[in-house]
Amino acid sequence: MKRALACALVTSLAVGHAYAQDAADPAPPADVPAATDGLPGEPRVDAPAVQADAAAAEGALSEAELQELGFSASAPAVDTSLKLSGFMDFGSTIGMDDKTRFLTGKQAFYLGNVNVYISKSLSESIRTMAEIRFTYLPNGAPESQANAARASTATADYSDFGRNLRWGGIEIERAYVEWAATPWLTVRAGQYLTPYGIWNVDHGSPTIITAVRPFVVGNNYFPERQTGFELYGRWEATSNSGLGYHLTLSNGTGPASEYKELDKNKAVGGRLFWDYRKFGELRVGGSIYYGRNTESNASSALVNGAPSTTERITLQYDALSLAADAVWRYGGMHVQAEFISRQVRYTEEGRTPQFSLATLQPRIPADAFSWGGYLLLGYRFEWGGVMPYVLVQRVKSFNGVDKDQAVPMSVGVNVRPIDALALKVEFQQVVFDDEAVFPKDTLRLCFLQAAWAF
Amino acid sequence: MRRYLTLLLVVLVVAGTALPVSPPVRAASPLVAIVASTLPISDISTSLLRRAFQGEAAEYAAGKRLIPINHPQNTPARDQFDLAVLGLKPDAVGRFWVDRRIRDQPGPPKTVPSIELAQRLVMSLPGAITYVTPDLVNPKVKALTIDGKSPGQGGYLLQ
Repeated sequence: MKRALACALVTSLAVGHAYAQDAADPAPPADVPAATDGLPGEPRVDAPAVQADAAAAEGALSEAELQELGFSASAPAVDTSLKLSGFMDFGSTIGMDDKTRFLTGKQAFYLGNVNVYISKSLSESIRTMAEIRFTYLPNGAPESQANAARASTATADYSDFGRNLRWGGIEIERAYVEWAATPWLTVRAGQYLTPYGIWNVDHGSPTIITAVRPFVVGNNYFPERQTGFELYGRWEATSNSGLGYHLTLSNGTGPASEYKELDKNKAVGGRLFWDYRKFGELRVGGSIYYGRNTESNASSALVNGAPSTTERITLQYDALSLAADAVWRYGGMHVQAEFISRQVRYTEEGRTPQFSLATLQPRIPADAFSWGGYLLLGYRFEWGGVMPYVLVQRVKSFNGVDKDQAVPMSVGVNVRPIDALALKVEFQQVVFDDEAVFPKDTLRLCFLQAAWAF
Repeated sequence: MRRYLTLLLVVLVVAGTALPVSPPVRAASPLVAIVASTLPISDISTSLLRRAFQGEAAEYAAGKRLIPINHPQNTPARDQFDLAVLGLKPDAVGRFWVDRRIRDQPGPPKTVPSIELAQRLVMSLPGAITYVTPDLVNPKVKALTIDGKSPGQGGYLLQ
């Protein structure tokens, strides 16, 4: 704990020093308007040749002047240029005692996410977007839960005298095209983040307040992303409140759900939310997902001289997930909570032995119900963008073989010294129930993270 | 764990009372939302105004989009407008737009360096909308009522 507090203190001091330096910078001259615009990514129009003084204010601009400003009276109102952006994060997970270090491994620095967004408006109402994560994986990762041997991607680099090179991977986080027919109907096709709750939509580490996801979100009771169609929209009920919805139809989950359907069932889901803006911003929502997960192996053989393919199901279950969420932002205050559950029912054919972490042996899984939730409280001070927060969680997870039941609690500080950078220090204590894989154990961890958007 | 939570609570309370709080953002006069005088609208709802200045598609007529024009950050009109329409204090505006970009939500409107240039753009660009002080309204632009209310009326959004 002392180390965690020391980490927090050092970070706070460093940030406070940087902020103080910013604040001490001389103010730019008042007659340089562009210098006052500090929004990252905000399109700014600099127009030295266009008269902008009060005397000229009576006159309309010519088409040439409009084009100089990046507008056109005849062109579409949307910006059709290709846009590149993204985020990255760098951090470390520190086990605070020997038991925790045994599980988390030796302390290491790591680059967690290197995510690049590519987007473009194809027309006024059609837009495409892709998010790609670059990763060092699979190099160094254990091959499976049962086999701790590390994968190696070392290979000889032909352009460097055959010296070793370790290649990494990419993960397509989402890629889609969407058509905004009206404010209450947009049709999206491709791979998208499942629209449930708050965390999965916030998604990026600079936007997320804590250093790590709550267990109930990380457990993927809802699939993190799906491939198929999504309809969404919003209706403004009053000047201060609105109703929104999402409907999804997808391949659901599975070992290759991005492009392969191993059963005949499509997954369906939806979300409804209501927001109210009278006292800050309040949003309340509920989500549902239902789908079949199938894993299988295919084998081909000649039967009576004709080729035949046989599918053998190695795992199959139906999953029903339900979630409720609420977030309230008022001034600097931030209150956020989610409750997520999942019910799993195995099919007769798909109830096959699964590896148990508790016994290190395969076991026949039972039908299972898992649930969990969290409550996040924070307050963002105007000074340096400092936000202390508390995260209280409860998770009762059961995959049919092992129980993972715990009460994790975190305290931390999220600092946004500049808008595009978040520095986080978080101390987390996880107390496992007596039925968990690690019964009655307590883990203590400290997370450090720097996350930035570009 | 209870000790840590108590400690954090004490720190929050002490910090909350010790840190300086910015005065509320107030401009000298109300703002008015303006469009070209030829545009066939005279009133706009708060929600449509918010949609437009959040960078989302906002139509004033079927197939006709509003083109929002913003003022530079940290100018009185911009601060007042952001607080009234988006609910954002000046220190939160930048974070708001960064977070929206990460969520792949639409980005901010274009910003022009001066209020006069914004006004001239509104005169010249069909569908353009901005906000000015009432003294800058001329025959080529018209001030919109918001939710049916004019400046000076109780409950007017940009008071």
